[in-house]
Amino acid sequence: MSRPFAPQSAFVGPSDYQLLPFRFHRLDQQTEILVNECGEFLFVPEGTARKIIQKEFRANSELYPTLKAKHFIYDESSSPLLDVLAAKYRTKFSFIYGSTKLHIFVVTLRCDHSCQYCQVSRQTLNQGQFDMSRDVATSAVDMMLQCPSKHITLEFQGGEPLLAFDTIKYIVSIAKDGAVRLGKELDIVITSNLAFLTDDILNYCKVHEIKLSTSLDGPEFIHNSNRPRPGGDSYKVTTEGINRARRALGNGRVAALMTTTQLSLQHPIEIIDEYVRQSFHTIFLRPISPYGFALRSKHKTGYETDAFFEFYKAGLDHILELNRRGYNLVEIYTQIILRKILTPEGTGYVDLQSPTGAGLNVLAYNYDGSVYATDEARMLAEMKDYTFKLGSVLTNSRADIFTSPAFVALLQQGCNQSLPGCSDCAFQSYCGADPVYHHATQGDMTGHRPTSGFCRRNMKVMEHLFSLLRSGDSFIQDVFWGWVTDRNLAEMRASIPQ
Amino acid sequence: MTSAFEHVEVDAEHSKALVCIDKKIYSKAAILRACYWFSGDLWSDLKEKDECFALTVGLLVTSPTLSHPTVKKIDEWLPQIFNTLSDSQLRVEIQAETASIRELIIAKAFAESGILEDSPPGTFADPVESTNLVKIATTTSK
Repeated sequence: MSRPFAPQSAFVGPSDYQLLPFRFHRLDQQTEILVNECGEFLFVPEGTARKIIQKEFRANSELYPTLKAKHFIYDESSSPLLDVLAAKYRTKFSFIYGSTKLHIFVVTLRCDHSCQYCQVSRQTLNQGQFDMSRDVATSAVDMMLQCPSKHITLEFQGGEPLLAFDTIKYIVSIAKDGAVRLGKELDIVITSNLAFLTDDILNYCKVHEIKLSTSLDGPEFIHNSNRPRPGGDSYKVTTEGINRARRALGNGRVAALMTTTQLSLQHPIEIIDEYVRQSFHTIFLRPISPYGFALRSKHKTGYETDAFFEFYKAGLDHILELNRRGYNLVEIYTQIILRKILTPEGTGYVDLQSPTGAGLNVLAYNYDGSVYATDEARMLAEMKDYTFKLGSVLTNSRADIFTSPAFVALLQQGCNQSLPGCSDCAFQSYCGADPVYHHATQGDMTGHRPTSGFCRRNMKVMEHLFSLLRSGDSFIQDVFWGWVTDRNLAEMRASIPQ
Repeated sequence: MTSAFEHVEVDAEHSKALVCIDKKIYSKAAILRACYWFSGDLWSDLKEKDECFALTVGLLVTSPTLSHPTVKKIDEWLPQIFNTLSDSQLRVEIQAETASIRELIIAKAFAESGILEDSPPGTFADPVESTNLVKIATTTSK
């Protein structure tokens, strides 16, 4: 008995499909990137977006099942899977939950360094009136602990915070007591130039599990040029401090950050090699922030975004080469963006958050009790621009801070989902809004994306990373996946089934 | 002066162009979004006519300066403008077709916050968990 097959038309599948929300970007002459509402992406040949939108795809085309599986289209044989999409969308925005996690305490404006890019109105060493008082410290800790977040990071900054070490000890003591009482986890970091590091301070940090973060701008000639101090020996002081701190606290408790200046731009390789020489396994190729004295000394540090991108690109190439040679070194900015591109999670990096991380994920408490949406907002205040002052720990409640006109304005203009230029950008879910930056550089929190350094820089960096992902270089893929999953190359490769 | 492109007139200084854009193909929203991306270099003026949109675009800087050492003629901008216009129209079409479903996804994602008067259809929880497709067996140690 024969049983005939159904006619061929029965196997063709539906010819009509509906679009799900997505965005697209032309990567090069041959390739487009499609990105769905949850940040999942697909490389496709140039012209594919137009064909999808104009309903020129057929169910028997090779790409059709992938477009369905990746939530770019749906048809009568599938559903929009709204619950799945909603769950993915919520995961991408998980950084919103739990309220402010990073609390910056500026315990003094005093500092011995006079860096050209210094982001605060630094004061000389004997200006004690620029230290945080006990009353301010107590109220600031109280406000910090009222945040619903179960995990709080308390970061001491300055000036040079070690010049007000008694204040640090007082704050650590009451913050730890409060955290235990309220069942919160507390991480403590001191950001210091290490010039005033003593054995007593190191011992205290060890007992209280405090991490140290310092500035290392590169080899001696760059570091000392960027960070002048009496004696001109900042590099020596900092590197000696790093070694002492590592011996006392362990390598994992000492981190370094670099700031890019005009001088740095010419020397990406030397800067990275200095980090390797100092046995660091992470480096953050950061652009200079346009705040504080940096904005005023624009003739010194006002380099073009394109010059920074060339610096970043050369630096990333060198870092990948170092990894190829067996030295594990992670570039942090790349790691942050790759996590957004390659994983379902969002990240806690304030500059690349939407809704803005200003206030929502970070608060800065100045020595005088003023509360700012970010440390950069505080730097603007040192230049007499109080746009982002949310209130004071001495006179305002936490509710006042989060209903202040300044905070409401930040939120209204801090969502790239509704900003001109960003609303239909394919990189929206990987990027941020940064209303503080746009206010500082363009006088407008919304910002003008065609002339925004923030937009241009991130657009170029993301295009570059997508090009590397697209390149098919399996070594780069392994390194990137290792960075995303916090594994070194050997661990990463061992985890791949043979 | 006519241009290499149909429906485009360029002035004698090559600093300004009038482009007639077919209303049946392009929407006002798409044209304005495209113009936005050139607003650092070009000014634009849009007028609606019976059959078409009349878009005038011109150079913001017409002669070289220290900050703009090279100045492109308006003709050189046109291919990029047309490509951006096409992309903008496609983006408008995606948004027109998917606006309601996008709102629903976001509303469902944040339904827990209680901002909606009525719960959106479906479940807030992970649909795989809620349909018991996957169950994680737990054992209690004694």
